[in-house]
Amino acid sequence: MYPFDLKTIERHLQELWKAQTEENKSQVRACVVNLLIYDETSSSELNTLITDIAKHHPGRVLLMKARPNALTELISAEVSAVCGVIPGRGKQLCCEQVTIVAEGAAAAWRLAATVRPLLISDLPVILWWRGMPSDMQPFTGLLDTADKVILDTSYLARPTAYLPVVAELVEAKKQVAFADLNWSRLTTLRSHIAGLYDMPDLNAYIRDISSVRVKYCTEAADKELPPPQAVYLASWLIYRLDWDDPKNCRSISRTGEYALESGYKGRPIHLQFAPSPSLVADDLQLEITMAADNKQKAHLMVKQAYEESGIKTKLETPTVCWLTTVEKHRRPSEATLLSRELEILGNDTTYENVLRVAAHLVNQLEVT
Amino acid sequence: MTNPLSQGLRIERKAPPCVIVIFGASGDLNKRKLMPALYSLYQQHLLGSSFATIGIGRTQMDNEAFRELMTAAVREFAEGGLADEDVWRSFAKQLHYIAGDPREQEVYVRLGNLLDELDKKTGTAGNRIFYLSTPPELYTPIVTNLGKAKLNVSPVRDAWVRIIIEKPFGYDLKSALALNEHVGSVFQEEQVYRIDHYLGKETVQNVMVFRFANGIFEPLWNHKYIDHVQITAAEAVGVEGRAGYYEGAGALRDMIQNHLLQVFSLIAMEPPVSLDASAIRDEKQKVMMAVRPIEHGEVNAFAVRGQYGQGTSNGRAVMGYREEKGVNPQSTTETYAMVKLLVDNWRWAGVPFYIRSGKRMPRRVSEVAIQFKEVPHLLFDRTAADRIHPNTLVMRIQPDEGITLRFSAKLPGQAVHIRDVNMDFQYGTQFGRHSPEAYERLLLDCMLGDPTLFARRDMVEKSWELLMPILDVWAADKPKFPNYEAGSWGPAAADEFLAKDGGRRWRRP
Repeated sequence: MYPFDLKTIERHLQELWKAQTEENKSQVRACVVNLLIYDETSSSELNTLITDIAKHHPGRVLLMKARPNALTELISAEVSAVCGVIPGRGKQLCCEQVTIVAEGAAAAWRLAATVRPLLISDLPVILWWRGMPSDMQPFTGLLDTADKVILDTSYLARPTAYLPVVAELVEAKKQVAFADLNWSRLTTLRSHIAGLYDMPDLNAYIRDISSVRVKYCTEAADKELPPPQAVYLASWLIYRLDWDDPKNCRSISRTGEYALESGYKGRPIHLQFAPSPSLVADDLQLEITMAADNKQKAHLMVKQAYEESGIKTKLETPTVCWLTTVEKHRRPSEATLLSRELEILGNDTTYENVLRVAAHLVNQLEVT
Repeated sequence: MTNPLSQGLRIERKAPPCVIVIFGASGDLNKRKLMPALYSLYQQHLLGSSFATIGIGRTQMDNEAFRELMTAAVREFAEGGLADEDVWRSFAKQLHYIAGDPREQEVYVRLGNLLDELDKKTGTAGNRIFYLSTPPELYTPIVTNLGKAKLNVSPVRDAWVRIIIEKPFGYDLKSALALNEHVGSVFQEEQVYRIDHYLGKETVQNVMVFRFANGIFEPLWNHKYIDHVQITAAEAVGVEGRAGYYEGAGALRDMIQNHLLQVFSLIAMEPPVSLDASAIRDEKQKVMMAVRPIEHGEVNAFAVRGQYGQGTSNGRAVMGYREEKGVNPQSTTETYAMVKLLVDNWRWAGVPFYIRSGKRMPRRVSEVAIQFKEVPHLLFDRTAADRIHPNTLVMRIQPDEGITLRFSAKLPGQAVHIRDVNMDFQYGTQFGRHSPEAYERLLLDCMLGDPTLFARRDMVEKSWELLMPILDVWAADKPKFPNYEAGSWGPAAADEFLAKDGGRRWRRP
């Protein structure tokens, strides 16, 4: 590491590629994105993660490490190449990484302005913020530079409580696309549930849902509230099925069980969040009851249990017998989730709307 | 009822509940391509849990034996093998097999019963795809029997039934018309998906994006700026055990009539009014209609054929086509074909499209090269140190899928010397993401009811109609074969053809 100096960094970047090309002819250099990573976690796995991502999204990685509590005031930097073998091609795909360490509060404050001249023109700027976003520098400065901001509420101490803050941020910065990896973790489960409602037997009940219960692990990160994924899942149903905003939230047990009321065109829909000792980590279980005046009741249970069987489904309608399907489903890695986010550069309007509903839900739960 | 939950999902193209019935399930295509493609879709969560596969074949085996056969096939031919045994087991549970002769009606009774049972037990919702992965002589009896068993329509309201037919779509115009007529007597045209795996390749699909999502190329895409277009599909291999089929087909039928004319139509068509399948296929058909017909008497002015003799491939001596196992020692089947097409419309007047395909060429490569016209006046002296060629835009279909633009640049130094340089875009490096196999894409498209990348009846018939004079003349004439060495870029006659046609040269891809 050496004290930050733009000319030195640019010279080192040039020298890096010259040396790489001379040493190894089978290397390919590519660049499709500016990836800004702000890391407060000092995770040792980050380098492996960057290599994994760079294989799929080669670009310039600007890794910012802030140590605001350091006694010295210094911004230092170093340049390195990130290389990975292209699957099936035997060639190495290389991109460049500039690591910038900001020591001291004032240095951390200047981070956004420091990295700005290092961005490659005309390429999208993605900010992966591994920490607690705030309304202060460097987050605000980087937010003005970024085309997309990727957060992961699972890094936060009280992730669910923070959802309304994220919702406000999204509302205030319409020109920036936002993502939360905790929402991305639900993609397969959501797709599975949506696919079930393509079946004619179940599709006929899509407007007859009378109650929804979301179960989650008792040891969820946010002790006082259901975990973000549980809130996102319920909010997704509310948003997509055009239900009324939930109200009348009440705590129905000492174990953190909540009940709320929603509705669709005057018909009540009961929502419940319930911790379950049979679920671990980020497992989720969704139980839906469907009933209408002229129909027999139908039940759907979908359980996402990574360590067990993947996604388990139980379905009972008057015409379809009990159906139990086990679909293998692995917990997506952080690199996989991030890679997917880097493919979607525009605003995810579904996420934005779900987040709005989620913020409302959390406000209801917190008042209780 | 619509399903609002399906909207805004990040997995945008998930298949609806359905069953795929594969005729010829113990055959090579199923083992090498279809089953690995279906498994890959399943691994990516693109097939719902309400999905099942039924294999039909003459080989006697039960469900378990079929699952074992498919396990071995996927292990050998899928890109990542089985990858995850648990996931495979979950997928394999929904593999079923019916042993029987597809010419026998009784097979269809059992098939109907199994389909009904799967609708109830697996929730496949009455949606069915029949995939004809059999020799073409079985197409007619299978279609007939599906019709007799009333399996051409779904018993479930609002459900769909589709049929996928593998090429060859006929042997000539007459047989293609007869096949289409027969299929059309049982299935509606919108139920029929004629698969051409070339159209499922990422680079072929990118032709449309390249042309119509970039403002800078389309204004140049016409006779004012383009000198000619070369479409090449070269294979390094010989007939590789397919002599029985290839002897009756040849390069013109095997590659040009289907794959390369499809690629040609994408390059030459006008912008469609929308991305709707009909809009795109209408434009493709319109440009096919604008191709100048080749009269019987002028075949030699529009086409060249060849057959490889002994030579070198991959550093080893290889035999000539006539010495290959299963090939008639006096065979007149062409292993190389080249056709010049002229398009009589405002955009392409006077721009020749040279289309060639051959076996035992130096390397396997498929590409489209758009050769632009030379600058109207060359300012710079052309010295021995200079190497100036017209700009060329190359779309590589396989391998190393990508796009290259060749232009001239000044060589560093005091004097002005010019070199051609390439600006390269490669799918494999710019997007580290794996491109789906063509069959994955096409199977999913069929499940989703998107026929854009499938050949429509009128296009198939038109392509046969265009090539029939060449096939007729070649069939009546005895060529002097072999006329090119294995490991070369084809017969000298093809080089001479281009040289005489405006002093042009074939690219060395």
